[in-house]
Amino acid sequence: MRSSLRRYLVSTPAARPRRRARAKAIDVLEAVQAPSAPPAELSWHDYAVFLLHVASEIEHALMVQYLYAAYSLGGANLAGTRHENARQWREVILGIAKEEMGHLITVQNILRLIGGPLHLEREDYPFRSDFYPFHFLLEPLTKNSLAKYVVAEAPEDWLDTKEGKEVVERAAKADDGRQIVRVGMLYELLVEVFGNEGALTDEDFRADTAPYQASWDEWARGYGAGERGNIGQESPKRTPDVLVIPAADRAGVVDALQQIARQGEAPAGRGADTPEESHFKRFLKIYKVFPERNPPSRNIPTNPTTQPPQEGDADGEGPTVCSPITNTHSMLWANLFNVRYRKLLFTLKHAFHVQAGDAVDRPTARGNLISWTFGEMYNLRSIAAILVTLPLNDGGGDERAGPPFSVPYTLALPDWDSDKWRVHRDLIAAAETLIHQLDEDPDEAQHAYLRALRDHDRQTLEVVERLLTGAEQQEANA
Amino acid sequence: MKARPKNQTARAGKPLAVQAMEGTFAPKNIAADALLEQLSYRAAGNPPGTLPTTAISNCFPGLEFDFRNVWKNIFVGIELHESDNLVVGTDQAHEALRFRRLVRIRVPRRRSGAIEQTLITIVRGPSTAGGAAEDLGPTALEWTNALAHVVAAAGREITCEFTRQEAGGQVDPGVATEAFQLQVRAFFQPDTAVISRELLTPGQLTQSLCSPWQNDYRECACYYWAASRPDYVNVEAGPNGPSAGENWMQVRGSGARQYQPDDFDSPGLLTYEDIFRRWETVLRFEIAGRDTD
Amino acid sequence: MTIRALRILPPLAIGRLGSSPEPLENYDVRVSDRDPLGFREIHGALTFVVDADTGGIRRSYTPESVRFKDARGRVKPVAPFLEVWADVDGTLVPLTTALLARENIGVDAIEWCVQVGNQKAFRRTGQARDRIDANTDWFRGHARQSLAGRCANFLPRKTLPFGHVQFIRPTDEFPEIRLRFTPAKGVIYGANDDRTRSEDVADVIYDSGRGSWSGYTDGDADPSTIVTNPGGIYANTGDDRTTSRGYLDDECDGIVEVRIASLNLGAFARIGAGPPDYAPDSFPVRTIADELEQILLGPHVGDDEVSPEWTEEILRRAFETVRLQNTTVLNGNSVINGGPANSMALQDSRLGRAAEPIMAPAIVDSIALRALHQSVFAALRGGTAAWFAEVLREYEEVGDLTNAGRRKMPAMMRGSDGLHLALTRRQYNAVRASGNAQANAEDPTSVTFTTPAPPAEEAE
Repeated sequence: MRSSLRRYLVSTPAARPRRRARAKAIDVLEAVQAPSAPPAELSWHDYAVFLLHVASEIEHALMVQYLYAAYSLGGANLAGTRHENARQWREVILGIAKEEMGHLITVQNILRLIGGPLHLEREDYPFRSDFYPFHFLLEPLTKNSLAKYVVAEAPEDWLDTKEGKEVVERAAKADDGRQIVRVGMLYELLVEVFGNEGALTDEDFRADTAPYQASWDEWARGYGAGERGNIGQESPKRTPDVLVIPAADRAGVVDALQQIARQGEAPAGRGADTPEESHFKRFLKIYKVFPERNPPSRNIPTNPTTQPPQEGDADGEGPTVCSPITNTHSMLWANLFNVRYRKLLFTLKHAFHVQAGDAVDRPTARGNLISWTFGEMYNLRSIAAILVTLPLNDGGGDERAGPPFSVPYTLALPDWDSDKWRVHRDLIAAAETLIHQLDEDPDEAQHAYLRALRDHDRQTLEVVERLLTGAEQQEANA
Repeated sequence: MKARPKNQTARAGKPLAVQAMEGTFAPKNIAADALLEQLSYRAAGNPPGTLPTTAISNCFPGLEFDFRNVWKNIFVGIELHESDNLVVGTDQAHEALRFRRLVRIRVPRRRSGAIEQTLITIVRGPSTAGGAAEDLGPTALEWTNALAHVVAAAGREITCEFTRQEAGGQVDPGVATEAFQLQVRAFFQPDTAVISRELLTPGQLTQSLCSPWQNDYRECACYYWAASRPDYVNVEAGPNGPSAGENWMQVRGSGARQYQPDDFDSPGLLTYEDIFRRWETVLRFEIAGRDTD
Repeated sequence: MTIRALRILPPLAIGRLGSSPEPLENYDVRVSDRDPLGFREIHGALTFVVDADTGGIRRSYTPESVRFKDARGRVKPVAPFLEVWADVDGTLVPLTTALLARENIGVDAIEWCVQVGNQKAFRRTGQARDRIDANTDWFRGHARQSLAGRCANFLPRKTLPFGHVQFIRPTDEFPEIRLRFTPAKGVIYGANDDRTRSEDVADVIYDSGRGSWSGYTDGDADPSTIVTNPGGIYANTGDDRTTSRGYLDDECDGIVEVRIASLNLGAFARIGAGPPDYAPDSFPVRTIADELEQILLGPHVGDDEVSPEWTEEILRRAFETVRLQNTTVLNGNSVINGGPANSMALQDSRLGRAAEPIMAPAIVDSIALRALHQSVFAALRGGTAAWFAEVLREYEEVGDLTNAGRRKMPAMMRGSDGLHLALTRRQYNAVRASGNAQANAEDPTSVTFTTPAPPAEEAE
């Protein structure tokens, strides 16, 4: 988490979660108490926005780490049940990652509702904070990394069980001995803050922002229970909905936050008749059968990057081991991945800024933006699948590359509408250069995909140019 | 399953229908039992429009053919309605079945057991916006998919369950039935890929289409057949997001490019008379989505 | 080496109406390697010009470009050739004069018989006298044979022309045995009463004094006839009884038969004539070829039949269709005269389902939906669209009119049962199997397509 966020979390004792002493060095943070005042320098409303920004970063970071873990599963060396397990687990984890995306989008809806700026940014390899579950690490899936994911999503009361304690111990070891923080804790705090009628008044909730929020119909329509965009050979009926929840008032926000928390951990009491499995349950299931040694994952690195390694870390904390991709061909694919990742985030953000359309007869550019966002999700998946088969190093060797998920230098939306369309144009141009270079390589195996991608970008560009011209005309007439 | 897709005939993996259109499937000889190849064959000099792959088969009622008619005589002794599970004709021996409904079929498997297929589905949906789904009534499934397993039983008898009496309206799939053994006709003439004489007499493939077809062109909205009878043409990205284009049935040059939704009374759209009298002139071929010719 | 049997290929040939005396040139339709998401390209292909008098192929050429109408704006009909093939020792080869000579048979031993009909009136009235049938009877030689439709309820000496057939005279250059079917002009015929407007019809041929086609209404149909579904689909006077004007068209379908009596061999094929294909570079998602393939090979797809190209073709046809649809209207967004415009949303409301748009209205613009399909297409090539089968509607789900059900694919389209369209089971299984293969492959990107050859520099 960026230092600019961090200071707000440590400055107020009331906001600091109590620690309960545990055996050895393993601490587990207790549930938060409702704060009596916001941190210094922040009003209540501002504090709510701030916490939502923290939630955004966490959902985003988890999503990316889970995606990486999913893509790590598989490989040409697997056979029989190992291959089948890898495939199934990959699907499950991809499903969880998609749900994190839903959470991220829902949090943006809440930000919209209370008039806060959206937050799709993320820090590169951030260090710990009081709410951050664990050190950010793109790594192939192991029993240890699974332990971290399980604990991060766990309901509080499970941590005390015999099973829970074991996993907590392993998870902490995997994170350099630090405490794993439950994601649920932040949401509990958010519920407290939003529930507090003295903190946020009714005027803080702007119901007229509905056209600028994301609706389930728009975003999750193909992802209802059972149709998760996965092959679904494992009990499809039990896979939950992607939660994209618009919010109109305080109660709606509290409900949305609670649903997100439930999807994560499904606290005890809901029992076996809960038709949907939480992230926690799904991760735990895999954890229990995941091999200690020789996991069914590819030989991909930790924190792959397209940059040469930096000197130290900005905040001096946490593991900063990065693995540069030195193979030039793989590097091109990694660059392309990063461009698509940035385009995904930017397009998603832009979609929130285009009204859904008042008359049913007249869709707006939002439809295009939503289509393009989905397109980039598919692209990320395709390119990640390609990257994990390509060599990491120039000199050969067995190591494969991996999707870097580099944080873009900016996701800021320009002020003028026409300039927003210019950014799309820039991203398409950057992608075109990379696609061209890749396609020119006679050894390239993915010509068919590259040409489809380029063609799609070309058609997208035509639409973007039209929208740009249209926006310029409107600005000239205004 | 670790199946890897293998290539089919000729060029790698492309469906034969596509190869035929592209001109890359033009064999000089064909094995006598290669029936798919025979079905897909494109004779010299024939443009792709001659191929079945250019004819829609979601027939309600269809465009080139109402393919539903092929199923009317699939069972010896009865004639089914082309788009309903109703027995509309019988021979003398099966007179008792006239106007009953065929509810279910059971096709014996090779070794043991049978494949059962109910031919009626219940339509379900909310009757009020945002409401819970309710049953909205039974309706017959279309034949090709429902009878998919029957074809393999050609020459044999299968079990057909009918309503016990005449049934004017559709019935619930749980209705009490009476079973009869009916023989399945061979679909194709033996050892060939031509639809057998017994299934279709001349004129039967087109008899339930619109008369004249020009009437259907004007009347039917475009949720069947846009790739054959287009709807939205001369489309461009609009300046504000939504695309802008014209209705294929629009009178061209009639003002700003704006799509006129189908409305029998609109002056901006072609009329029935326009199409009866001058269809060759007023209907435009669309190449790359734009008016051509 | 004897001829065991004869076949006519293709077994089903589709003709298309048009009044130009010049049949449509031949062409190929190809996907561009460089522009795989663009429109397919039309390239001229080997075209035969038949001499009307001699019946021989006067010349063959490959056109530079294809014009679907002639210089006078008349639509060029699609006039298919049907070839006779011979089964020689288990292999079909084209029947040629040389092959016939080996059997000591001359071309004049070949006889043809073509029977076509238009039973549209008969289908409604149920009266056998309303059948319109044309039969050439067995003929030899290369003169054009008219397909003249006769009907007991026609006026004296009137027939309905369905076009003509011609046994093509084999030559040294083109020694194959073939027949050409040229459909009719696409005109309308009427009845001798005031429901027929003279400007609509090319001729008055139906006798209202004898037959009941003019004045027919589905509402009064003989109960034993059981009307078509959809009903009322004939030219009518516009009254509230949907009273038929008694119009007939010159579409037809039927059988082409060949025989060589001395060999005791014969074969037949089916033909039909429909309207022009007005978007010749775009193709429907579910076609008669798909029906016939399922009937021939069954609904299950074997491991060796799976190919990602097949799924790709289905996806391509999906966006080819979407590209030509105003999906905003078809989604049920538009309101005309107080109700949703004609769409599946409207049809569903007639079944009792709440009238609502199918998808979120904001996202259904045609270009946006096309883009979405194309993204899935690209993902398929990237080896990661294995989930695509999950969004397809299965054949038993056609009655599911919930939001989730209606949003399955193909969306916004009507199937043969009047409900939402499902692909054939074979198509569905093919997509599923290909997806499974991708998902199960060690390396999903290896389950891929023939790498297109690097593009040669093509002069524009």
